[in-house]
Amino acid sequence: MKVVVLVNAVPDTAATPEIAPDGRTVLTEQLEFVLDPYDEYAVEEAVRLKENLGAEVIAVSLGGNMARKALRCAFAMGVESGVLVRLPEGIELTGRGRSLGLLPTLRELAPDLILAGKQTVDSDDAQVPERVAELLDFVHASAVSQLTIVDTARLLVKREIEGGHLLIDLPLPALVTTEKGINVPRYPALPQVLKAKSKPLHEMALPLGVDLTAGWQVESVTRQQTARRQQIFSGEISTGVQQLAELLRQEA
Amino acid sequence: MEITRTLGTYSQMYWLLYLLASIAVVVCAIGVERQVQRWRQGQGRLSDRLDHPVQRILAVAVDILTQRRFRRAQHPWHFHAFIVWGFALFFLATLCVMLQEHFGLPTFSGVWYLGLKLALDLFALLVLVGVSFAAWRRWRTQPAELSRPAGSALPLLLIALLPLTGLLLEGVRLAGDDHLWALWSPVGYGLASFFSGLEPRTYSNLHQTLWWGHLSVALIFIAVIPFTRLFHLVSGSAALFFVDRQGAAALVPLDFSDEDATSFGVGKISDFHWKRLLDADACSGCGRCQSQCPAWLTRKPLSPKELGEALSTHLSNESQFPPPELGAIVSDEALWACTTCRACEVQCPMAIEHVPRLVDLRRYLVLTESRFPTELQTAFRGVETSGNPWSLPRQGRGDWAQGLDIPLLADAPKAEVLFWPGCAAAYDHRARRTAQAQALLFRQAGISFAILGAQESCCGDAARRVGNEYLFQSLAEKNIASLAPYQVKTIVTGCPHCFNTLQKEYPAFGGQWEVVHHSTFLQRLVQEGRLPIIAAPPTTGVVYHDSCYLARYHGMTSEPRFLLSSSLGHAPVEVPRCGEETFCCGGGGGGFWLEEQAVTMRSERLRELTESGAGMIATACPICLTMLNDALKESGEEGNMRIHDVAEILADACLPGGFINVERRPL
Amino acid sequence: MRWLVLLEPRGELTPGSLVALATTAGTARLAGAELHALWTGSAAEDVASRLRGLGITTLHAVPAEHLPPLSHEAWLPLLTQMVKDLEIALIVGPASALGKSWMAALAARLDAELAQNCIALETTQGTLRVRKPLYAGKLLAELRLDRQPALVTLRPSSFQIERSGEALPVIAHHTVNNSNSLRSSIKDVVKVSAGIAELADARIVVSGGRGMGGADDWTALRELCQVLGAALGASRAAVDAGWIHHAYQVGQTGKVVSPDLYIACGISGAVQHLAGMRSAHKVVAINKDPTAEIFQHCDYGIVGDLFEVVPMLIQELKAQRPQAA
Repeated sequence: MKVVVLVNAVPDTAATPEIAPDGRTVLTEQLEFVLDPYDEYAVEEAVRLKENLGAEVIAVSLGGNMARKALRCAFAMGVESGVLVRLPEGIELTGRGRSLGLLPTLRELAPDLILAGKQTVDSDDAQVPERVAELLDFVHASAVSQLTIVDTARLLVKREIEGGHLLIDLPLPALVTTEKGINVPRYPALPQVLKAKSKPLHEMALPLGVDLTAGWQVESVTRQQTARRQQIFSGEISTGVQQLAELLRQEA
Repeated sequence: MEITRTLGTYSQMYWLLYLLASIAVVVCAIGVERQVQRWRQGQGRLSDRLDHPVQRILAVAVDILTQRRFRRAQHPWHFHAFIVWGFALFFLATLCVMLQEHFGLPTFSGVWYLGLKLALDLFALLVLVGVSFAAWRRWRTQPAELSRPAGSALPLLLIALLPLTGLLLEGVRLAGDDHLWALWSPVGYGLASFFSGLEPRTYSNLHQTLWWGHLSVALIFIAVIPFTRLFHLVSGSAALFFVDRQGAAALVPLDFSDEDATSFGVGKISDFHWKRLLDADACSGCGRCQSQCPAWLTRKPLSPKELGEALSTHLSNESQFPPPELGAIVSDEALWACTTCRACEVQCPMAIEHVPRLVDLRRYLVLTESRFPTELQTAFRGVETSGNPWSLPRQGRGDWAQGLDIPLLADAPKAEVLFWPGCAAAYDHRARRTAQAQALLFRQAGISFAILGAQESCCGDAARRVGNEYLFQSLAEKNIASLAPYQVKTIVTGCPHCFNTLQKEYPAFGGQWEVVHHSTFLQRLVQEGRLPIIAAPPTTGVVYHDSCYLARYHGMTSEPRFLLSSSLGHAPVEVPRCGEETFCCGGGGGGFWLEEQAVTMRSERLRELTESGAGMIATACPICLTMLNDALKESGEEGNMRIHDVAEILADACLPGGFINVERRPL
Repeated sequence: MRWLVLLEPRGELTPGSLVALATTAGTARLAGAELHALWTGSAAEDVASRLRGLGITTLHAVPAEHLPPLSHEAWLPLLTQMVKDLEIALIVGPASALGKSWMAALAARLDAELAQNCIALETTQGTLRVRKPLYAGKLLAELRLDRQPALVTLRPSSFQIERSGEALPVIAHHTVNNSNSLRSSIKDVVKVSAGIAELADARIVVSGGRGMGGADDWTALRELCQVLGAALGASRAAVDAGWIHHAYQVGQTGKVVSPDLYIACGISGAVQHLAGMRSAHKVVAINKDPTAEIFQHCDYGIVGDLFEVVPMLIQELKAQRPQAA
């Protein structure tokens, strides 16, 4: 079985990035980048398939140096090789562009299973894996919290939705995005971390002749006052409770 | 008339004596060599521990002759000193006899001879007292911490027989030769009366038998040293000589340059440095480490003594191949119970490096096996990406200083002092008050200082001590790089852990500054008259809790007490376990990253401190402060006790309007 | 210009779908767009009546009997075709688990852009804009959608549903050619029943701290968990005091949770606790100490005794949602 795991690097989730003077670009150079936490679940699941079933696991990322770092993180967790689809400096792709950029590489690798995190934590985006699956004509399931290999041709997955879950039977080739709960990602042992530096990493260029330009323009990025509203009811308790209950009802 | 005595009664038998003595020495040497071979299985070179050779020799001599490492209030030590001093004297006397007999030197004559006689007699008695006490402890009182292996009777018997036969021999000699100076051997003289009036022939036979008996005891003693507990004479002296002069305060860095390395830390016995193997054999099982270990005393599965003994036993099982992993003899739970507080090391008469040894084992678990309590992963990730174990925003690291108008070093590169609060004081809302107190005091004293703010990262102390050396080194490099653009000369830390790491451990990675703990720095300011006391805080008694990393790692017990005495106008209350004998709060060595099972060290310590009758606990460490505060919350006694940093108490005494009860100082 | 709102196929109209629809309807009025909605379930008339006054022209109804309702594989060909046939310029879906993945797959088939998780949809002089939070809401981006068709998923930010008039949408019934055989199959649909959930991946967590005062008084908290379908948690202070088992501990040295809603009762907000719940989407704090640190880290807070507040809250919630009780 050949497994491809799609990975992204994201800035430290605790940090708040600065906004460039143009008011449209987010500056992330100063931030610490890590493998996206949802991708970590995907990598862990892939590495377990390698360890338990002897699957061949290849990590794929699209981007620049940070994407390279994401691949090295995947290597440290036990992935044996990787492909970097090189994104030239200064170019930003939308979900559409990224999926089209990854497509030729994934076609060439022709995996049986593609794993990816259910979303990226920086942009809260959740579309590249599903798009890739559609473009490759793979069946797919998102936000999977349990994955069972039934036989060499089928998977059984538990797909989380609000208020419950679905059990879905998927034939291979398929794509699955991972939700928390699927596993506990390992803290890589140091020998693996050191070996990660020398594992094979192939570079690919973006495909030519495909229009990857964005269908939207970022007009502005603004900093939000605070992530927490700090709306405190300190008067009559019963009034506060009523208001709180109403807020909970609306948001739950 | 020359004051001496005739030697050479059995001079015609000297050839036999020296033959037997040679055999004894050879047997001893063979035995020692076999033990040394065991240690040679370890890593490293002999030269690792040969710096400052003269100081090393002097230190060992002083260690042994003064018994200073043995002299601890909590434990009986006189009996051992009697034996050591007695045997040292026996050796000296024998040497004197030999020098006079064979080289004609006047080493066994004159007033010296008389004094030696008297001392020998008295110490022979004291050795007998000592050995009786040891036997009493071994077979009757049996203290819990004392190891009582089979075969410990022989050494004690030999120790007892040597002075016993010596005294008898002297008694018989004095009975047959009523010498002028006999009164200088009071014990022998007393014994002589038992033998008076014997037939000369009987007397001669008896004397000859005793002479050979005494000699045999001495030679057997020498010969069996490597094969009995007496071996601690050799291994203990060696351990003292080869001691790591930095010890747990500056752990030895691991080398990560080999990308193909498959193992880091100690996973099997031969991965240890040779000194660790020597340490395992130097232990004589006195159990003082165990009796003071906070983990052991709170019923955790860790005994520093048992760990060492298990390693020594393991080392003896040479027949096993392949050598079993150490995991089979040391449980993970035991390793995670250590707080690196060094209570064991301070107590150990052999200066065994308990803490670095344990960190070696942790390094293997973390780096090679990636096997550790899950909560550590949270802390590792937090420190890696956000520079603090709670994964709180890096940008919020300077928030504690909001409103205090403290410049960032980048904006004030010429500041005299860099203030380094550390993670706890930067993020924990209670501990932040300690950093604020320190900063306000520095300003009050007119110090020009700055902070790094978001550029400061966790110093790596806890990461290093839980075994994540790789993470520690990356943090050290990062912090040193953050400071590189500035000409920082002095760093004042708000935390004893940062203090130790920056001062003792960063130099190995190129970080060289004067690093001062805030208690020392504030003491200087008070002594220079830059922080006059306005009003002593009203308290119902303050008890000081010593931080392990100040008291035991740096011997700093007076500085915080000075600050308290200055603030309060009188000395703080003391608890029995104070100063170098302090009891750990449970937070060191990564303890505050781990979940401790009840009974917790923090609650034990809080109980001790509460029993002092004081209404306030003073600390000089934000981690101790947090741990003890947690214990206080758990006990539900928040109304009856307050816990403050010495700086907060000083600030209350020095700042106009006080500090402690001011809700939020001019923020 | 036609816009289409995708209603989540959950058997009944979900609040998320309704809010996405209402938000889009407001903007559609301003933009002069013709608003369509797609319902892939039964009882289209009931749904239509709930959409009254929202300005929806047509409700496209496809009876679900033909196809497995939750399978995107089954529905995507039809959806794609419909968007093309109706020349839809903007497709809006709810930013729910199903909504996001269906919309992503649809966007791929249409080779169109998709802006996920937006909180606002605006129009000025024929230009469409969305607002999209980044970095867990710390930044907000404004995107101008230039290319058609565009896809947007909306997550609720306001719950005001404005209706004008009583006009009902026209129902357009569609039939499906059910000849395609599906590769994937949904074996089971499991609803998580209300009750105390697992802490690690619970969507709602209710935690107690020092303010619980002892081991005996956790009934109110457990009942609140029952009502909300939440998991029970605790701070280290409560665990170490021996009031509750360590398995319930949330914090640096316990479990690290990131639920949609975290309710902290009698928890002061020590850093070691904050580390365990800092990534919760919304935080509610109940504490009688108005200076408690936790109020600096909450979205909503009530200053008051939790033993007074929690039972009242249970009453309110039960009154609002009798089915959950």
